[in-house]
Amino acid sequence: MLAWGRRAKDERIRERAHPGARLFLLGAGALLWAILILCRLVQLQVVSHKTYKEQADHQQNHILRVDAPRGSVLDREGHVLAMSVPADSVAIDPLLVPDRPLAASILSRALGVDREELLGRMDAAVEEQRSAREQKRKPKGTGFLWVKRKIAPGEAEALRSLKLDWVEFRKEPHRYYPDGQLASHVVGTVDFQERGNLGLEQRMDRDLNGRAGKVSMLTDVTGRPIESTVSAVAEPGQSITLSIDESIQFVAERELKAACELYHASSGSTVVMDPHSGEILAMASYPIFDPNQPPSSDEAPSARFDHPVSVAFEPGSVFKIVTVSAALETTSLRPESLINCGNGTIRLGSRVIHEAHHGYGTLAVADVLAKSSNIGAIQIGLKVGDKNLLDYVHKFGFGRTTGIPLPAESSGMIRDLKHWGKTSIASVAMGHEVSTTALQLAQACSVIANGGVLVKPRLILKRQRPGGKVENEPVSAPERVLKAETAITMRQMMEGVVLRGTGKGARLAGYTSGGKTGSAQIFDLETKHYTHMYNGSFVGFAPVTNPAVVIAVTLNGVHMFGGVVAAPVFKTVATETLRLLAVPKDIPEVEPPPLANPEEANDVAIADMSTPPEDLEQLPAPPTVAPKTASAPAQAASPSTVAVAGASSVAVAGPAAPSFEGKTVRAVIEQSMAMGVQVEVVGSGIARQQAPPPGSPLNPGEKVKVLFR
Amino acid sequence: MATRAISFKRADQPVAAGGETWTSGPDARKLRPLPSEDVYFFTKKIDNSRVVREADPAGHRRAVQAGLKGFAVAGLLILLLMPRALEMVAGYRIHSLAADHARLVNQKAAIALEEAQLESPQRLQVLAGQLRLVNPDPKHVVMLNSAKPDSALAMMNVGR
Repeated sequence: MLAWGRRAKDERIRERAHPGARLFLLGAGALLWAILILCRLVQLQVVSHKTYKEQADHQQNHILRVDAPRGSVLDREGHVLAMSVPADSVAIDPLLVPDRPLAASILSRALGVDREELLGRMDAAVEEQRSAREQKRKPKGTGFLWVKRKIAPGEAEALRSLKLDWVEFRKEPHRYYPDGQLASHVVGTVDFQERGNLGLEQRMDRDLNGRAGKVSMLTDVTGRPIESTVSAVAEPGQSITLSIDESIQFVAERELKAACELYHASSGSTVVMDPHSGEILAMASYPIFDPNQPPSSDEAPSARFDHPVSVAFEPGSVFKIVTVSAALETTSLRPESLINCGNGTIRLGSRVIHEAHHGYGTLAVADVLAKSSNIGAIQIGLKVGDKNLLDYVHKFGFGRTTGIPLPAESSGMIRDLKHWGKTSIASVAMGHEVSTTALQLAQACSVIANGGVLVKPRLILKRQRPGGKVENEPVSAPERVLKAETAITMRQMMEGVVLRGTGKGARLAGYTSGGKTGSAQIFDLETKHYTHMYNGSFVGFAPVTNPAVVIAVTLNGVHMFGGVVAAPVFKTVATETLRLLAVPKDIPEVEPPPLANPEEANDVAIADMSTPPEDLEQLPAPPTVAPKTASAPAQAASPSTVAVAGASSVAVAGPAAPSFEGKTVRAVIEQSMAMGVQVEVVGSGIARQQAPPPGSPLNPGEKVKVLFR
Repeated sequence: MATRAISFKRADQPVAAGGETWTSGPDARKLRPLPSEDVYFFTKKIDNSRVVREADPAGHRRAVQAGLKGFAVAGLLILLLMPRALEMVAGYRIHSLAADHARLVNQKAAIALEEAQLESPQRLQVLAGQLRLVNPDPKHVVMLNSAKPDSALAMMNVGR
């Protein structure tokens, strides 16, 4: 104690002697402290800079992948056909699950997964972690376990409401098709990773997908982002607007499905097309599938085939429009030119071809088309010649793809001239030995409907990135195939098919329509024979004067004719389409009479291929073509004139008014002159109405007023 | 200490007549001096009521200048650090808004999907069937003046 007191006293003495000593000591201490801090700073920021920077970057900087949302697919009115929406996926870490059996029960009930399978996966994951720890090795996997991916919003909401802290929700983009089966063959599907694997989704995958971006993110200790630097800008996928009209597509699919089920067709196609722009308004395929569901074993194998584009078939009599068009362009044949169809049978070497009906005798070219005479078509084909016929077949777009942006498009099959057999010209003239798709048929019919030019079918109207500029799809220049007058003549002749030929089932109320039926026998590859199953088709347009729509309908594997199975589909679809497109009506709204006898629509192209055909030189000589102004006796031989003559025999007081409906001015005048009936021609085009009506007794000198449009 | 000074005899008091003090004497019974015993406190009353501070304008100026300098330095520091702080606050705000934007975009997509599902032709057909609605007979469809696009629109709306 004494010593301590002395020391203090000494200090006080020293303090008095050196007043800055303490301050010096304090300063020295502070300096030392500062030096230590500085050293530590140097050690942290200079010596160990790299190590700590890496650690900081690892904790604070994150490189995040920014998904580019897949573009939507819209119809021409902007209705969504396909779009991607983030969906919740459920994951767990089995190591963090307090009670695995209970967890498996909860999740299986909430998500509809198999409880035992989930529990097994959880136990396996835990066991793997445990054994890896014991064996001091790296475990396989991280303990992360997907329970169910891309669940429905309702399931996610129900599971979230349970507030289970061991359940993790992750967002993943999911592709939805809100209209289900509608246009599923056109729009297509995607796989689990949102890569297109069918239809437009596959063909336009690159454009729809866009490019993912990268963002460098600086976060705080809680993980909240502070700064972000975009290292690669995400480019969202383009939204694609199709030419498809959802309403027309719905009608086309509904009617095709009903017809296929009614007539037990194995497959079917319907294409609705604007003949002027080439825009596809609807493209239906049967069987159908739901793109929201993955392929299943119950599904028909051909359900995902896009029949109108990918499946080619022998078209049959619908192909006669090509034959007759080529004849009008390359020969002196006119619609009223007479063709000798004989007794309904023609022998080409060992091959016998005959009409579906009895022999027609002599028919005008227009009636050859209207009644779908095989012999007539063959005679016309022989007149045209194989080279010219093949040339026009190619000009109409057959034998090559249309370029529609859909995968697996079939070009059909058109053989080169050197591969043609001796009777090939006869087969091709009536639509055999060639194969086409329904889309090609619609394209070919558009040539006639639009005035003679081949337009490329358009499926995509425009594309647009979110917030970007609209990119309209370029339009290809059309190719001239037929002279305009030829196309108009063909339209009138095809109207005759509907008015008085095999296509009566395609008559519309309020609109004129034209078309051609086809019933091609299906060739059995095993027996090498044509069977009695048909590809029943109808291609047509409406209205005749200025066609707004072309429709091709095909039902494969039916036992009835195209005029019976396909023409009614055309009728319903055309009626609905013209109403939706607000096309003005061009004739009085009279409901056409139903098809009384299916045999009226019999246009089967019968071709016995059992034996090899003989040389074409053995064919009978082609009939002499009548001059353009046929004589009255020649006209009297035509079935139509005979029918009129039959009608006149019914008259009591005087000659009965003949039926002029569907005939040209020239034909009406010729017919009236032959019968000695006076007519008053009003307008031009095709005879639409007449007064007095057909069959009415005419007073002497009374004129029949005929309205042409 | 003051108490102690009162209780014990102080060492610096004059030595008694005997010449022996309690500290220096051989008497071991006497208390030894305590440490700092020579320090003691006493109170002295000072009357400073008449003392006044001498006016020091220079010192006052120096003090003000020092204060201003302090403020300036603090201001500079704030100016230097403020952008970074504001940047951080803005960063939080921006990313919060970006998250909101993403959430709203997703909600919009979900609503668009729901709308498309509600407007799907299959569903409308079912609803039409329940309401006993049928497609109009062709002769019951009256075309408006089709030269005007409005008529086409009206027809389209009728069809839907």
